[in-house]
Amino acid sequence: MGKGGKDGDRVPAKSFMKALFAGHLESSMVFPYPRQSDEARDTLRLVLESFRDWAKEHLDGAAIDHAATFPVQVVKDLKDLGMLGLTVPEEYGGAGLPLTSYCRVMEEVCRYCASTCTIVGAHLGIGSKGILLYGSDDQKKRFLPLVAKGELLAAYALTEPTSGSDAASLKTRAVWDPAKDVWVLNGTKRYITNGGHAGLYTVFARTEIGGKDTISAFIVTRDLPGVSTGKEEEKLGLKGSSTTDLYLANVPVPKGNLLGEPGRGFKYAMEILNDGRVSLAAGAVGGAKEMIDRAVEFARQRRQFDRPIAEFEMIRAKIAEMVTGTYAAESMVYLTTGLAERGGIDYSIESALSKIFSSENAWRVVNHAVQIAGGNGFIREYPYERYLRDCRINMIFEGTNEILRVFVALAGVQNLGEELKKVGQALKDPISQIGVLSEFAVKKIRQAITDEQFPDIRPPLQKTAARAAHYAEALSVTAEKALRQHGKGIIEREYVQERLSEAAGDLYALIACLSRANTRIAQAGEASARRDILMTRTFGNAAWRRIRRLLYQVENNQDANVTRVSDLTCEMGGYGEDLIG
Amino acid sequence: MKGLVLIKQVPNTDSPFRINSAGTWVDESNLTYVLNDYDRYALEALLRLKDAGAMTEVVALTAGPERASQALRTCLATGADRAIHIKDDALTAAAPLVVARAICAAIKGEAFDLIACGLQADDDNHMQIGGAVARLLDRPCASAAMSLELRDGGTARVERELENNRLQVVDLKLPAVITVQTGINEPRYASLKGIMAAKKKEIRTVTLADLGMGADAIGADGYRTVRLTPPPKGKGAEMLQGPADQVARELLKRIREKTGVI
Amino acid sequence: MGCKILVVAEHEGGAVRDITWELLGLAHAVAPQGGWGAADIKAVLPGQGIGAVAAAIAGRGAAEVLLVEAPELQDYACDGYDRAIEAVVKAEQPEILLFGHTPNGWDVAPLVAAGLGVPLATECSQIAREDGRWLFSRKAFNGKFIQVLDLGKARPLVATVQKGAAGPFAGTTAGQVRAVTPALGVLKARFVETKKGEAGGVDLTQAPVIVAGGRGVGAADKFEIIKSLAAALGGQVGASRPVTDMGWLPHQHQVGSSGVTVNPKLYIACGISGAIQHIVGMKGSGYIVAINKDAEAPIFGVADVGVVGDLFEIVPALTKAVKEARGQ
Repeated sequence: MGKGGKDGDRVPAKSFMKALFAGHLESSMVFPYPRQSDEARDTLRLVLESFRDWAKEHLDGAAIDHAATFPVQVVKDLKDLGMLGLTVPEEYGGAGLPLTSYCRVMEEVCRYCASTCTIVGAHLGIGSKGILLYGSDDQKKRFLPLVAKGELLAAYALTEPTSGSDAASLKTRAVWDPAKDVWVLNGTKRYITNGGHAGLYTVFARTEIGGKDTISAFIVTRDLPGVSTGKEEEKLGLKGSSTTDLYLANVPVPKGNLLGEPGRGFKYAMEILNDGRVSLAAGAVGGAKEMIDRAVEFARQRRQFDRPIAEFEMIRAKIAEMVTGTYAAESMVYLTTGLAERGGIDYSIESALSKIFSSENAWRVVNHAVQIAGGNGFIREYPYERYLRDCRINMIFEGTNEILRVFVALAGVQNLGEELKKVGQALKDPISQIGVLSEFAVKKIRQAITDEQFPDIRPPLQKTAARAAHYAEALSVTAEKALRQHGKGIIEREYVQERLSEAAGDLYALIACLSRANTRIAQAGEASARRDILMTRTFGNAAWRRIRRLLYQVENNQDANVTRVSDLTCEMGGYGEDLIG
Repeated sequence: MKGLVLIKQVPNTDSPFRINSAGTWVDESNLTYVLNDYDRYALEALLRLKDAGAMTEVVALTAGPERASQALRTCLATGADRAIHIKDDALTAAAPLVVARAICAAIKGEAFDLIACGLQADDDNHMQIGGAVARLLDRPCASAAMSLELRDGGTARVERELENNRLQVVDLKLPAVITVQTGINEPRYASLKGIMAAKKKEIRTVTLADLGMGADAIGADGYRTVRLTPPPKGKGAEMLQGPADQVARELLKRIREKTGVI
Repeated sequence: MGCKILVVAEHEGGAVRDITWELLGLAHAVAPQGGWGAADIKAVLPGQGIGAVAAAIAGRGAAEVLLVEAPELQDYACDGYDRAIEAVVKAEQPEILLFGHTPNGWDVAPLVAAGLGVPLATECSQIAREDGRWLFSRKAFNGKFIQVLDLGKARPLVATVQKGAAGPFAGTTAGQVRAVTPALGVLKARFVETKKGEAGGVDLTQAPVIVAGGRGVGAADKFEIIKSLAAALGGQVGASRPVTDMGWLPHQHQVGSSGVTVNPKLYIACGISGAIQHIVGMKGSGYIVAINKDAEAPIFGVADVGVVGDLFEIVPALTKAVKEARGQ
């Protein structure tokens, strides 16, 4: 994943996490914590204010969930407010909000209604993003004003019945018809968000370019002959969002609707998802915040044994975990959007880690909220169960957390391999050849990078920062050992990949917290940063222990047993033996 | 015709309110601020006149600290044409009459045919600015407007909300002042387009000194909040027991004493 | 001549409005703190053809009633009333000037205070002397706090007084009525009529009294007892979410996070357990009465007074008591 397309002609962009895998702390990339310009903040404030004023009256997430149909009026209102053009540049009739602002708005939308958040996210985050990133001037002029106005709702069409995480295996095909000067598209796209209501689809299809089988991207509008959509899927959550099949039957797509360069579609598909993922993560942060607010309100109000349940330690433990996790997720999301906005930076790992971390945090938070609410948590009249159902998909769509973990680990070790290559060994394929690297050479690189620390850390955070630096190095060392042990075979070693990516996630989260808290101290003083310091230390204490365990388990584990149990169960076709009867 | 809406930035009513260490006001450090809800209706009332072609310009004015300009931005994003900010941190503690004087000084030389403001601000609940400005400018005023209609002959017909679902209909000779009750209309929301357009609109900032009101304009008269306290409220409910009739009498007694609704 | 406390009297349909008796009650209650007596309390009464009203006030609380009669004052109009009152205040030089916090009181008081160039304290619940100063207690932040104001050196001290801040004056006085005829000048506000507001609309946010029913009421037709109590109190009917979800009452009656947030002076919760969604919508109410079968119901945590019992017994009994008290 993330390796499709040929990109050899470009200088690879800098990546904070890739450097970290290779043992370098590129502190200047993540310190100080990014801050928007005053003007951008002012605009964002107005957008949020307007949205909230509207949402309070007109965005009833519970009602949308109960109705389980696409909220046509809500989308019309969003269109009138201009929300459907949030990120479209001003020259095309949008508001041109930067990624950070967009993510913050999505957070807010998700507090009210996850279905609506998904509709907007599919429209702006991925559905029309391709035109913005790779569209020609003509395509931008033709489509973006309609997208911004909401005249055309957009959708992103990649997955197919037999192509999910293995996106490159898609079967939809586009064949050039020189007689008619069109690409003829055939195929079926599955689980397309906004499918039933979109007027514009960014479709990825196989194309033969210069005799090679490649993937290209197309702008397919609903008015083209042969475009149709299937029935609305009934879902566990996000019941107000539209999810359908998209059928393409001999659809003549004008050549002017080919997006970007032919043959680069897979790369586009992955890059579009980078931004989509971080805004999805922001939505998950919003949902988590809402659940924290509701759960805390309940815990303070609900009395048992003559006191509010918020005073019981098992409830306290839950609240603390909910808040520190969400603080970390929030810190990651906006550190990542800050990286993205600086330009020239590869933030694909950071974006994937934000999505993994935030979606799993949201699930934990909502689960805790349900538990705190007790019986009420299970009752439809209360919001908890809806958020539980709605947030479950976050761990699945826009890249399952599993495939993203594979991506993080492999992109990380690949970069590590490239780093090792610099030792002087002219290796063509670092991953397969890494095993032959001499201990000596490795040590030599190591010496150059050990004892790297974060600079200018304020006293209250120094211990935590030292831990973070130590485990950053430990991650790199462990990754490199794994690479030497498995060589190219690391591609198959998902037990290892999961641990490495998990440790990388906790580490990135911790660094994001540190940057945020440290920057706050530097700018506003220690007193104002009290909450940040507490959150960072508390999260940090739990995080470095998890990282330590994960890295230890890379070599000390019972993976063999796990494989055997799983294989046995699969052989038996399920649980098997009945103990009692 | 020109309209002026007097607005205020107030703490979000959902904010966690705490009394400050001096015990004289709320602790402002953890508050978030919004445009006073009533003022949104006042602004909308003027914008509707502008939409209908009866008004050529709608100006928003506030008197408050630096942060209050955010509320003006909200008005500009919602459709006001320009804004005036009387900027002074001391204004928070000023008597409404002093604020009204500052407002009158700030609009000197401008001819506003209709001045509107919200019935009250959600923070201090004074309900005075509209009336005080009207009196200082020698204009008629109607409070708690539930409808507004411009009529021939330079008058505005206003329905004022009374108690028990009754309305008092009054005609005000323009120029006039109204204070607006929520429910007079349905305020619009700032669109993204409006928000972007607002960036180019002017906010004129004046200080009290610019208006010839020295530092002694506030507080010299001895006007001050002595203290702010939580409302007297017992811990938990007082529980009544006994036969229904007796309980009912006890309830009635308390309702009479505590609420004045009977 | 002159007086220490001047009360702005209100009348309607040839009768004295109750707020006037309360203002006189308050004036008599606080006068001793200023070292003043009954003779220092006067009333100003603008209107037309209201000699009898003036006489009534002179007989019950005012040492003197300054009666300002003019055709323009037949009905309330802000500038006419403002000028009449300002003129009387200038002549009488009171220490304290009291208005009722009524629609007309809060309308004219800022004009009078600004005309006199003095500060004003609105919606006061208490006036008391402390360390040689008069302090005015009033709600701020929509009732979340009580603000105690020192209006400073200027005189008179002007306040609008909320209903129920003091009991009505119950004694008798042998006051005089004196007609005064200040020049009213050119008036720019003209009274047109008083009319009924639009019927049918339920706006709980503006209701001074809300009687709300919850799941415990049991059925749509059983809401009659709730409605009767609301009617007796001149209030509106509220509901918790289950009630509107089940269609017992339309959605606009719903109080709570998915309904409206209310802060009436009086909130009576009947058969409402007090789910957090409901409580967030009504906890700002001035005085909360809870009636519920379950002694552990969280609603009692936010109520001022609670009754554990059968609402079908207590609510009708309360309705009866209220009706008797109001002479209905």
